[in-house]
Order: sequence, then C-alpha cells, then structure tokens
Amino acid sequence: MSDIKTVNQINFDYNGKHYCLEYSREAVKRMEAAGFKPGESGSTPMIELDMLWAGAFYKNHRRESSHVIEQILGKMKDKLKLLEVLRSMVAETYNSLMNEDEGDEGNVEWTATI
Amino acid sequence: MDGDDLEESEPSEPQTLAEIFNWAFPYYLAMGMTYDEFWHGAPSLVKAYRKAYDMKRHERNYELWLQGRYIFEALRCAPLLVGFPDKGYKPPSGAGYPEQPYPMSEREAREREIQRENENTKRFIAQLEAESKRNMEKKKQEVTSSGDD
Repeated sequence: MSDIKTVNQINFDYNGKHYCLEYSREAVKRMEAAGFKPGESGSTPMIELDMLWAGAFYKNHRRESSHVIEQILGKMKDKLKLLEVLRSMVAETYNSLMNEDEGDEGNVEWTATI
Repeated sequence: MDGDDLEESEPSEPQTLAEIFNWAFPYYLAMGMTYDEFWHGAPSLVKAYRKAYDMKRHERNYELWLQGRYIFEALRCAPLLVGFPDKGYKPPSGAGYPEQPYPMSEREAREREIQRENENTKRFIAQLEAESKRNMEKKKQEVTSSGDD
C-alpha cells in the first residue's frame, strides 16, 4: 500500500512564477476524454506522468503553454515520487465521493505480503 | 414485459471516472453543493458536505420527534380526550401543556431546575413574611382590644 498521505496541491516556483498544481473533477474528466485511464497497465509510467502532469495545470494554469509545462516536468526531481503523488491526487477526486473515510466500524483490516 | 426487458432497462454500473462523477453529481446537488464547487472546487469538499448533510438529517429527525412530543402533550391535556370531566375538573398537576419548550441540553435542564428552586424559595419566604405580618397584626389587635377592656 502507498505511504503517500493525501496530498491536495503541489506548489513550486519556476522562472519567477508561482505554480499551484491541483485537480478538479472537471480536469480529471477532461484528462479521461483525452485518453487518460487510471490504473491502466497498458501505458508506460512516463506517458502516464505526462498526462497527469499536464492535467494538473488545468485547474489553475490552463493558459500555460504545453512547451513550458513539458519544460518544467523535465526539471522536476524524483519523478517516480511525483508520479505517485499525482496518482494519489487524482484518486482523491473519486475516492472522496465514497463514504470510506467516515467511521471504521465493521470494516475489514487487510495487509498484503510478498 | 418479460424478464429480459427488465434486465435491459436497469441502469448499468458507472465504468469511467466521468460516469462516476456524473452519477454522484445529483446527490451532491441535493446536499446543497453548487455546480462550480463539485466540478471546479477542491475534491475533498464533498466530505464536508456529506458530514453537514448528515448533521442536518439528524437535526431534522430530532425536530420531527420533538414536534410529535409537543403534539402529544397538547392532546394529552385537551379536554376532549379526558372524556366527560366533572364540572370544575382540573388536570393533575404537571399534566398540563409545558409552559416552556423542553430544555435542549443537560445544562439548560440544570439551569431551569435551579431557577425553579429559587422561585420556590422566594415564594416560601414571601409566605413566611405574609404569615408573620398577619400574626403581628393579630397580636396588635389583641393588645388594642384588651386595652379597651
């Protein structure tokens, strides 16, 4: 199971401009229409990262050029962790619709072993 | 209409994220969320709306229960339900319609109890004072009447 806690935003400065990346349901809907499929094993992590990264700009920086978006991604460190954080942020858009966080009574605890 | 038709008309499970969002959207609209909050707002905002909706439902349930109790109290002391009471019939003490709404908390109930005790004490003191005044006047009258003799 992932050790990433629920992250809502990614904040950073690039070329003197502040960026706040987050997802809305509208953004995720558009990403899906553009071909993004969460949990799809067919796409490579890099393609998935590209889509997730571009989609994270939709809510607050939708006018940013794709060239700059790609450029920033190229400069981001620790891309595997970034991918995991972006996945968890997208998951929050649909997981939050479920009642799972409210009251643990009767739920079954489970662990995975290798 | 046979069974096959019925199966076809059943709504299918949402498959894509867009379908999940579209399926959930009316529920959150019913909870008071706006279009903009659902589609463009912070995704976790729905949790607060669910919690608030749950609180509202509990409150409404309590209000309906309370209303039922007030109606019950009103009916309980309605002369019609007492049957054909004798002339001068008075309902037993405490059986009348409550003079105040029911207390909403333990604290309010305690405060009312203290207030009731204070009022009883004041009434008792007033009775004592009135009685001692009456006794004084009685004695005064006795003294004046014995003086006349």
